[in-house]
Amino acid sequence: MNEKSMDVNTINEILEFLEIDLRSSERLPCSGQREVFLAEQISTSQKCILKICSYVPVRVARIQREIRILKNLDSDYFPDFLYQSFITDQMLEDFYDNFDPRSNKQRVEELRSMRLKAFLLTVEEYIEHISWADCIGELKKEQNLVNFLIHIFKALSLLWSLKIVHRDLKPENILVKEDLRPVIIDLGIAKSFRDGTMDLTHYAFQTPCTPRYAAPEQLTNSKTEITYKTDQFSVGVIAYTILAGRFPYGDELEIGVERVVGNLVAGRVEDLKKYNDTTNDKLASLIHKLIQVKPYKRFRNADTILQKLYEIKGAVA
Amino acid sequence: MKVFHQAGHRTIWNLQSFREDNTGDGVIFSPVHFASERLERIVEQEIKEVSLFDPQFYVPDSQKSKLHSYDFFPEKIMNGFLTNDYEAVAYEAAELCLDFQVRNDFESIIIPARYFPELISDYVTQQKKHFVDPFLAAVERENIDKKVFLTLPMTAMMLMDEEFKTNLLNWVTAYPEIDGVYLLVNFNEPTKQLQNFAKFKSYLEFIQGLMEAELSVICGYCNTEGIIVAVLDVYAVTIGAYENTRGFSIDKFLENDQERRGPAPRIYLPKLLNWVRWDTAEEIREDLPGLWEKIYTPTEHSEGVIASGQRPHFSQPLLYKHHFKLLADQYSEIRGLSMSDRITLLQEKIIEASKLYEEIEDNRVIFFDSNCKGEHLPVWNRILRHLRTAL
Repeated sequence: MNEKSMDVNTINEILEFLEIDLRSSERLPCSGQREVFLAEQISTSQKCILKICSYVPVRVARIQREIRILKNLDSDYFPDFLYQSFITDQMLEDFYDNFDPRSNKQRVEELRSMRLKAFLLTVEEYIEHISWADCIGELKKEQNLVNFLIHIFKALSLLWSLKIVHRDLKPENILVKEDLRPVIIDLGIAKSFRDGTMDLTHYAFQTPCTPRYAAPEQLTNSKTEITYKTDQFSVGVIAYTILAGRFPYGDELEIGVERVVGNLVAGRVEDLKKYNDTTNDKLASLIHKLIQVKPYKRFRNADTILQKLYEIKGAVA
Repeated sequence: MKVFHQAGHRTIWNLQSFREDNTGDGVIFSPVHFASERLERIVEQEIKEVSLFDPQFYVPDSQKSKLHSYDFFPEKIMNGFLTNDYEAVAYEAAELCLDFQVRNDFESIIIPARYFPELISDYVTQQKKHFVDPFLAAVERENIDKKVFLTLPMTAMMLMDEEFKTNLLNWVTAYPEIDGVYLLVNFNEPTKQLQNFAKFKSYLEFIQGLMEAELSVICGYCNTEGIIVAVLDVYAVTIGAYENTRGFSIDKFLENDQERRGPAPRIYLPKLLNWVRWDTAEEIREDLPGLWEKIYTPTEHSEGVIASGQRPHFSQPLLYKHHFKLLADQYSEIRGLSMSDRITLLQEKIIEASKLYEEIEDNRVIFFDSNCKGEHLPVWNRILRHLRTAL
């Protein structure tokens, strides 16, 4: 990325100079190696998410892949992709030159000290959502959780049919709308774009991921085994934690990574019903199948999962 | 559960048995024994529609001439197979092979695979790159509405290696586009009947792993142990004539397999759950008619051999047709039962066979070929006991 993170003011100055119909209003937490801003389209006042990523070919290639995926999906379960533009070094030079050096000398020096480099700017639909803290109570209700999982697997079914594995499903990457419908964000970049993920990556793991939600095959970087079943595991962990209030194989932040790995190796997982004894048996069993350590013991396709969820929905109604 | 003829040398016997004796539900055609033009020309469409075509890419550089009559066979399409260059033609070969299976309207599609005798670390990568991915791409492109089976040729060593086995299970169960697995195992055992408990148990556990992942399993190259496998209610088992269709190995794809001696004639005796050398059977029939009555199940084919008064020869069909008929009958008997009832029935058959073997021994009949003895029976009984515990 650039030497310094870009602030809202700077990005707005650049947008204005380039006559891009956007204005950012707030900096949001980084997404992978991209800086994220809440923005709006000036002409329509429509809120959107603006992301900037330094021009490193491998990163740009991955973002373009994500853009292609989003364009192909055309589903409410994923944000719409709205706009992209490369901001070249020459454009940035023109931007500096645009300032009057006599009246804006200090600002130009500030900007030059930031050593901005060419970057890719992308804009996605803004999804109105509620925080996980605010919806967890509702999701604990079985009927709601089953509906939520049905939506998640419908979304993943679309993704998987395009031979895409999300690889980093976790609450932060699932926005929950007021009506508890999920929207999945940050597609296809988990492997190399996760700054936050990298922070959590332990020396024992050979691949960037979020260990609390990652499938064992991700933790061991078994590349041929990282498939759509990897996403099943992460969703299973999310569902388990919603109902049980704890991680199925333990939380590495509490018990240490060695014990979590030990639990995974031994397939040692506490029965969900031990922590939530009112859980419907079939729902508990579905979640346990999702979080099986060996991928072959998980579900073989989204249709089967959905079919089972619809059966459970009938039972818990 | 279906029963397919595992065709091989003299496929015509399988076809005759299927047509005339109604044995089996179809045929798995073997291109190494049946040239392309012949398969397209002489086999009726009604048979093809219930049958399968095994493309047999096991030894991709095989020089067997009949395999070369198929334009998609790796050695043929490359005019000299080279592993490193195969990727360049893999998609074309897949398309042609799929076209052939679709054009002939076989019951399902079989994706071929290469046979590797060792536990190689890139087994999955190679099968994926050369065969599975190209075939699945072709299946998707042509929008095929048939079941798709992935060939999985294994060795017993692969089955016994927990990590390798798990990797294979993880791999094959990760294709939602695949309906099942065409499983072939080279047990590499010195005995004709599978009587290595550890290997048999691993084999069944592997099949269970596949089935738990909702994959249909065709157990290819079954010998008599297929009736034990049938307890699991797999998608299909097979019946075959010559031994190389009742046990998987790649010998028949190699040039020098012609030099082998023909097998001694044997007759299948379902009450013994085994094949017995014709000469020993004759000894019992002539000297101990009461015992013969107990162990022998007649068919028009076996009666024909006896009536001829001639010692049969392995190149004659009657004893093989006799086997097809009786084994197919045994499968029919099992088919309608629950898993638990299948186990009970087979345990009863094993007890009955053991008693008959004891009676043979009591009558001082000596088997010159230990393969004709009932040494597999206690192992099979133990396997059934384990299967029952797993119920």
